Amino acid sequence: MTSPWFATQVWQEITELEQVGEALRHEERLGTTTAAVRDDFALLLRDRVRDLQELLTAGDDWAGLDLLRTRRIAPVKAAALAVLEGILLREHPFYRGITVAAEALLDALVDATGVGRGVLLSVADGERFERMAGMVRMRFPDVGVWGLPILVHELGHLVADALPEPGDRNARPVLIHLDREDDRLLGELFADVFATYALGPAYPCAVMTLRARPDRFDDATPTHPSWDRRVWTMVASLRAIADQAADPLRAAGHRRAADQVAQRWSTMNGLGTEPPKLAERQARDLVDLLDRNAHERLRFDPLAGRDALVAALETGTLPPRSGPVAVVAAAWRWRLANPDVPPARLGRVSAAALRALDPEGAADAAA
Amino acid sequence: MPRLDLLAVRLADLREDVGKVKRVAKLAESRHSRLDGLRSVRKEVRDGLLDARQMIFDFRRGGDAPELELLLGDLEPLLADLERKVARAGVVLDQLDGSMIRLMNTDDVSRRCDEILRSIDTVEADLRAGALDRPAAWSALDRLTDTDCRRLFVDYVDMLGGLTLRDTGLDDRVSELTDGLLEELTAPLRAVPARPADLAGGAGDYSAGSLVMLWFPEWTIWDVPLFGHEAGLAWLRSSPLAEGLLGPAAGPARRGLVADAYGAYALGPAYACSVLLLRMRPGVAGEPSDVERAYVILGVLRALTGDGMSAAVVDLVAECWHGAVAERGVAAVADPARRAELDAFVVAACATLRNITSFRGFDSAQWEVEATEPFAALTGESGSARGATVRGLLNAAWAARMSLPDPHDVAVIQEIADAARALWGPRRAPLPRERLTGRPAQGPQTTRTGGYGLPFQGR
Repeated sequence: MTSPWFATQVWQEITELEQVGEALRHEERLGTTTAAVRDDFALLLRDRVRDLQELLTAGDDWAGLDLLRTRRIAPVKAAALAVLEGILLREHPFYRGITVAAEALLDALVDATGVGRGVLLSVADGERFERMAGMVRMRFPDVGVWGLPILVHELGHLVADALPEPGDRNARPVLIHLDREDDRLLGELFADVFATYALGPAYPCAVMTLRARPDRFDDATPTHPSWDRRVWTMVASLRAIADQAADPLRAAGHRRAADQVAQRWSTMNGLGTEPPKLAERQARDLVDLLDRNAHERLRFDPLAGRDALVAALETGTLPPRSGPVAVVAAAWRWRLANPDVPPARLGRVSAAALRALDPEGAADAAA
Repeated sequence: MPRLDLLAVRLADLREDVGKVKRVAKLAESRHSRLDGLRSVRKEVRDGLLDARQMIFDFRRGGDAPELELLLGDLEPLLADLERKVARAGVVLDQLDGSMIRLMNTDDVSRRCDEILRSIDTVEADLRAGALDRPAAWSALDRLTDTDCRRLFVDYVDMLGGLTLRDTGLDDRVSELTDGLLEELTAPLRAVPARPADLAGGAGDYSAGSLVMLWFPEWTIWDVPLFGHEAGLAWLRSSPLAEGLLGPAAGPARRGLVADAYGAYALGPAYACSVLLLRMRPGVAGEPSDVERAYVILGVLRALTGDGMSAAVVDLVAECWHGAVAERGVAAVADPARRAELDAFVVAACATLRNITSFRGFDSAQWEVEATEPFAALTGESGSARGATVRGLLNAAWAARMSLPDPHDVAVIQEIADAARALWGPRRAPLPRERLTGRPAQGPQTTRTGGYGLPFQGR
């Protein structure tokens, strides 16, 4: 028999979850999130409510309630809170530019990949992907264009979970491959290869410039491979993409990018000049997975001319109409060509790139 | 009665031959007047048609004969059809006129003929006055025959043959395309097909005044970028900018390197494609060696091309060239001191060439402006590229060729060449100013160069 006290607390939890659902349902500013994501959240909440309702039939199971609260309900509430935080920050003048830019980039890549599922965006103390709600967390208070490639790595985790096989929408070829390989760090490497596949050299360059630590080149953690292993896998993936390119010119473009990244990395750490055999094999397999299962337009085009875009970002003029990937690639190309510029100039180019990623906002500003 | 004198016969014969060249040059220049004759016939036909229409009109106004009216009704479409045909003939006539270049070097030929004639006069006068004995006179005659005259005759026969090939379009419009290119580079030159240099009596470095020779078999679209070198030599002759690069007493080797740097700067990756893939010989020594020339060309191009398609083309050419050089067992500019010297030259050349204001170097930004659309048209990604520049077209054609999965597929390569020529559009009439002067347009004021030159001038 359930006591009124226990029932009150359970009903309190149910009411809170319903309020969360209500808040999300009424939040029209949920960015460009697709209906599928909203439905996923609704299912999660309904599932937790069902768990709570089951508790009401089994007497005063305080231990069960505590377990449910900490293990199952708290993460859903945290995810919902993160979504709402993200939405509120999107309206903040300081954060609007980066949020809209990140949405534009990630939505374009979701579309180009063919996962058929939008991504939720929020902030945290560091970039990460949260599997439960399919949420990519940006790093607070990073509001520049330079960190966007790292978000594409986080999107790679979602792609690993959701990328179907052509002809079989329920198959998950990346997950199957990761399971089969028996390498707990391979998921991170897939996300790296995905970001490299989609953004070209901008991703490894962003990683090397912003994240890799000179004193920790070879320090793997339980969740992440060493920087050395990761960067060489990126180099090897660019070479694998070159090997599978449709024509010699594209192959030359990818090879050039691979050589540039390799040279940059070996100058930075001096540990080697070529990818290890393992990195070559794993990169080849992961690129092959993307080649087989993702849309062709996801693959970065090394031949696309970006000089006009780079020049426009540098001068702060309205750039020619370009896709989000081109803008991020052009911004990073500019940064690599100007390694010693003062922070103020970096900020100006970043602002120009964010404007280019938010055509409506740019039009509003012009008006 | 004067004795038959062989020396006098030979001198007179030589005078006659040189005079003939002078007359033929004038005749060649009068090719256009024959078209003028056709034009006047066309005018007469059009006038006749107008008269016929007037007569019909007058008859209808004055008479009332239903049977005749029926007949006139049948006649009118016939006249309209005739008018259309005459108009079409006019267009063809204009195109033909456009393809016939005017000989800008008639003065140059006359001057050369006059110089030889004066030399013959001098020999004869000196012989008569006793200032020259007969053996010396024979030597002077031999010298004239073997050097100046021989060269004049060879050049001129080549040039007349080339003019015929151009006029009839048998050169596959390559001369016209080359003219377009030289015009974009504001080089005051015209191209005519000719025999290969080594068959033309060692006249490999000859350019007949303002004419450059397209040595056979360079009559394909793939060879047109080679004329960047000729344009470079013309730039050396005319631009004060070049002096800094040449230095005091520059020899042919240095001039060649500067012309190569100019060609690479002006034509972009297409220059490297033509020169390295089709002409230069890895492993053949020279001063400068082809390996050194290639080093400079690739150096200039790497300084110009950041990334994108132009950089990929340069990478592929370099890879192919270096492979061939290694295969021939030659070290690619092994001496570090020489390499440093060439690197410094490339830096200086790029800095100097960027001061040219009449056109912008074909860097990766220019590739986007000029070659992106023609490339898309050639590879079937999008429709037309009307109004493409020759530089853009040549670079796009080479890039399309380089992107073939099988780079040795002759049939597809030919298809690309044909498509590129088709993109260049119908045969073109010269610009109005050119019609008047008979010279190619020069300077940045030309309509076709102005389109892309102006926004970047004064960099």
